[in-house]
This record gives sequence, structure tokens and C-alpha cells, in this order.
Amino acid sequence: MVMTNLQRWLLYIGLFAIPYLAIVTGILRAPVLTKWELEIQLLPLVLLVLFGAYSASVVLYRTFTFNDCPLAAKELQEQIALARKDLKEKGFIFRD
Amino acid sequence: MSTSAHKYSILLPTYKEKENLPIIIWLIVKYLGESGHKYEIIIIDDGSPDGTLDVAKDLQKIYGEETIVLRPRGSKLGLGTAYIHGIKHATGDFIIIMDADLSHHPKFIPKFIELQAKEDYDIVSGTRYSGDGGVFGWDFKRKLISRGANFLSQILLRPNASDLTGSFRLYKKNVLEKCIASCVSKGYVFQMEMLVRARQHGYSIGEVPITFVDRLYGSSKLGGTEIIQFAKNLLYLFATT
Repeated sequence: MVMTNLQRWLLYIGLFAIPYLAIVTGILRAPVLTKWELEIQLLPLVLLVLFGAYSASVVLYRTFTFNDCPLAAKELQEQIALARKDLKEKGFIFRD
Repeated sequence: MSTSAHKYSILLPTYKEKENLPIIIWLIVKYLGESGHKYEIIIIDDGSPDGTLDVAKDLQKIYGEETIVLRPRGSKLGLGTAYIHGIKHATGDFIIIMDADLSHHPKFIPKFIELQAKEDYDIVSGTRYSGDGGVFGWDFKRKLISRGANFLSQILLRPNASDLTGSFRLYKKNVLEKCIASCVSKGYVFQMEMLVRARQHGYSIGEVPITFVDRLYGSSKLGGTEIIQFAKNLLYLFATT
């Protein structure tokens, strides 16, 4: 059985949500959990913000470093002129 | 000069490309000729009203029926069926798909062939998003949307390739047939699904960085409907693959 991407995400969310809910609803108790109560409660929000910041910085970085390729455009334009000249010599008639 | 027995069939679906077709053919003949590989160019014109087919016939007279194969169709029927139509007539064991509007430069084809032969990849995909790859003619907004959409699809679909929506690729013939057969989407999202299906089938994918020169003539569109169509298909593939 191969999992779909959606099922894989639901699995990971479940693996996080079950212990998390057990802790915040008080089903799971331990002194260490009480000590870090606020931090644990805020954990999903923190993870979400971190992921958002990561995504935004990756996308922005990649946008700014996206190659512009002016040389490729220049080469193509020169080759178009060469091609037109050569094709005309071969007897081709451009219909434009 | 190559001594390999392989033959490469280049599929060129066209619609209203009478200006670009002679140039793209000239460039393909130049670069494939220099590389020494056996090849054919299959032009699949979907009933262009501007006389693209007549241009193709003129080119066939110059370059010969062995090199230029014409397989026109009556009307515009979509990319997936154009490829199926082209494959049926292809005599090569490898298929190269590319756009005829000069955004894909034929100089990269020998690189695709070399990489495929070296690693025996099932698919070699051109990528605008890694290495020396890039795009000419896009403003900041267009780049941002493109990068955002690409990032999202990488996260949601885990493809084994960095350029999902590109359409400059080399496939083993049977691999292309199998990928098309399992695709359900149409339009340009079809290219994205092809690579996702390839991952499902366990096919190996190599990548060659390409420079993409967005239409020097005319303009390419990226509007609200394209974005909505992309999002819908992304979610569909996320839920089903």
C-alpha cells in the first residue's frame, strides 16, 4: 500500500496532534510538562510561524537570484537573423 | 560523431507558429546535425489558421521527408493527445518534447541526449530553476509567482525534479506512453502531472539547466484562470498521488 501525499501529511499531523492534545487537555501529566506548559501550548503556532518565515525567505531568495539570461536572448536574436538568411538562400520564402 | 544506434523523435505541436517554425527547425537541424545523432522532427499542427502547415510543407521540401514528418490534425485538441498522435508516428526509441515558440533552444537537446546516455535515465527534464538555468523576459511579479508555485508544488508533491511545469524534456518512448496513459489533467498542468506520474511509476529523472527565452514575439499569458487551474490540479494531485 503506497500512501498518497495527503495521507502522509495527515499521518505526520496525527503523530504530532495526538501527544500534543493529550498534554494540553491534561490526560498526560508530568512535572516537566507543567513547568513548560505555556511553551508547549504555543508550540504549533511557533512551528507555523517558523515554517512561514522559512517559506517566504526561500521563495524571495530564489526570486531575487532567478537568472535573467540576457545573453541567451541575444544569442537567439542573432541566430534568428542567421537562420532567416540561410533559409532564404535555400529557397525558403517567409510568409510574414 | 556518435555511433549509437538510437534515434530521437522530436515532437513539435504547433498552433499559429508560422514565424517561429522555420527558425526552430533550422536550429534543430543545426544542433542535431552537428551532434551526429539520428533524429526526425514530427510537426503536429492543429489546424492553424495562419498557414503554419504550409510553412511546414515548404520546410519539408528543403530538409526532406526523412527529417521533417508532418502529422497534422484537423483542430486544436490539446497537448496530451498531440503527443499520443505524434508517438504513434515516431520511429525513434527516444522522444523529445518541446515548444515551437523559440522559448526552448534546441542547443540543449544534445545535452539531454548525453546525460540520458551517461546515466540511462528514463526521463531528462530541462530545468529553469537550478544551476545555470533561468528565464529571459519575466518581471519580478512573474518570477515571484513562478517561484512560489514551484516551492508549493515541491512541498506538496515531492517530485524528483525541480521544474514541474516546464515542457522541454526527453523521454524513453515507452516511458512517455506510460506517463501519458496515467495522466488525467489537460493544459499546461499536464506537464506537472507527467513528472508526478513518473515518480509514481518509479522512473528515474535527470535534469539539464536550460535558459528559457519567453516569447520574443507575441506575449505569453499568466492570468487568474491559469493560477486557479494550477491550484486545483495541485490539490488534486496532492490528494491522489
